[in-house]
Amino acid sequence: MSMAAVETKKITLRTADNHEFEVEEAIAMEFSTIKTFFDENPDASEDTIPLPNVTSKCLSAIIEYCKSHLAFRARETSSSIDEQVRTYDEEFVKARDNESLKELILAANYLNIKALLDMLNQAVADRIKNKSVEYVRRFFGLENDYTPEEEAAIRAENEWAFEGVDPDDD
Amino acid sequence: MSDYLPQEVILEILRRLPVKSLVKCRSVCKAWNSLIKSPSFISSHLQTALSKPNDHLLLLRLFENDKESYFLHFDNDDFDEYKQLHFPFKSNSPWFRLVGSCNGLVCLQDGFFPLDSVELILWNPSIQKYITLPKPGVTCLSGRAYNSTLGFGFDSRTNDYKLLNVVSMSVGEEAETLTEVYLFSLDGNSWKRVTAISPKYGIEGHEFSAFVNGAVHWLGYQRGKDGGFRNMVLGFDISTEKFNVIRLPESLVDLCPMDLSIMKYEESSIAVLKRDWEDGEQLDMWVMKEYGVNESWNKVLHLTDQSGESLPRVLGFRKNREVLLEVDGGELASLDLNCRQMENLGIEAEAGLLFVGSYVESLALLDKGIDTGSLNDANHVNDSSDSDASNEGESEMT
Repeated sequence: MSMAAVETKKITLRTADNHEFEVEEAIAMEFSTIKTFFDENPDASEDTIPLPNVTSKCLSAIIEYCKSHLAFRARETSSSIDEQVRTYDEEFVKARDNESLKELILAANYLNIKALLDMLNQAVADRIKNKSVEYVRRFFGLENDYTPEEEAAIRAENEWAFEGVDPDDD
Repeated sequence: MSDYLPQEVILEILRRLPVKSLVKCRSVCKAWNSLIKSPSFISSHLQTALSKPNDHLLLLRLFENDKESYFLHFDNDDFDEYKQLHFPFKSNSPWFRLVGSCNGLVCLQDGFFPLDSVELILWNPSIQKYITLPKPGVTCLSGRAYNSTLGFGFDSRTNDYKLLNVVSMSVGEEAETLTEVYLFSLDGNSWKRVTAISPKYGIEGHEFSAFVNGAVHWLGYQRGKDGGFRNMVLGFDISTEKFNVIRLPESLVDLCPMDLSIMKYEESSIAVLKRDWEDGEQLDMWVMKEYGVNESWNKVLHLTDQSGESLPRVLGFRKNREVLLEVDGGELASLDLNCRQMENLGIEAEAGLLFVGSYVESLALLDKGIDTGSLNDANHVNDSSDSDASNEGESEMT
């Protein structure tokens, strides 16, 4: 059985730290920002696309994610595939620290990869839901602009919501 | 590269958080407090919760000797308890009447007569907030005998919770029935008179309604000249404010109205129960497989009294076509309509149970409601039962 050599179209992307990545067209099209660009500029596919807002570390992870999910989607849907997807997503997120997660979210947002963004947003929600208020402030880089009295008043009004908080682990 | 996430991303993260986390996050900073309390966020959070059917809970009401308690359960195989809700209200009558529950809010009625003394409460047990409704101000009554029926629902077009009050009274020598319809909007915190012509069907005596597909449904009936009955389902669309009629299966049409009752079937249709005592106690249940399609009425259950024991009370539906029943005067059981297996769920209450309905935790009333902690705990129910009792709390706050 002979296999015809199929030339898969490759797109070149250049990251903020000047690394160039060659990706298959199918994967690049998962990035809605890029897909839209090519829809509007069909002759530009030979050019290198600059991604000034994405680091190579991020892009590398994102490419892996999109590749894996494309492979999952190519298979027949079943509950065992769903289970595998869930496990893959959990592993993808588990080992990453908060900074790394935020970087990925910013990149996925910039590249407009909805499925990845939804998954990351849910992962952050799960990570912060039982954490302390201070932890949440640190995660989002927010200043506490309440006076001590104001803050005490809110806590008193909603005592039940402050019970059972996980210890901060960072 | 800034590490600050843009506002739209923050919103996407927040709307995926459970209500307890969101209430806690009000103290992160003032901007977040405004955001979380804003009507648009409350509504977006609700839509997110509604879109995850696997997270939907079941609300149960249990009656013991002198108190009522509320519990949320997962709709899973083991019917696991999610939590007991703190019930802070004290009614003037023995119990509150439960008008309905919808998208995280529960509507309670205290008292029945006269209309002006009736207290209506909207309660969000998940965030411990409530409001008392203003009185409908129905002025036409002036001493006449009347009937007042309530229904509760949610207008998804305007993201507003609404309460319907259908008041009917006999007027004139011919004892004609005059019906007036009043509608309360939570957003406007006010009642208005609805001018829709209500079809000439009485709903007196049918207090239970089913809110599905944006409409409150009751069983209604007409009385023929020969004294016979014609029963049908009367629906009031809460958004268009119009009535419509759905026909019942033929065999139910001319029965005595009080032998019939209506309930919600799955998430988007209705079921009708028929109970009669002519030949020993019998119970039939019909469901409308396709809402609005008359030919889709299907009898799915027929129970007869075997040994003089009382038949189970049908409480409502859970997923997978299972029916919740109250058996032996206070025990909760689940009946699988497909294989006809009945399973006792291990929950019981001395004075009976009520299945309120499916439930999602929402932030409704966060912006408008009063904290229930401000009420005196008249019931003195399980004060520590709903707190997680772990007092680790947060040690930080430098």
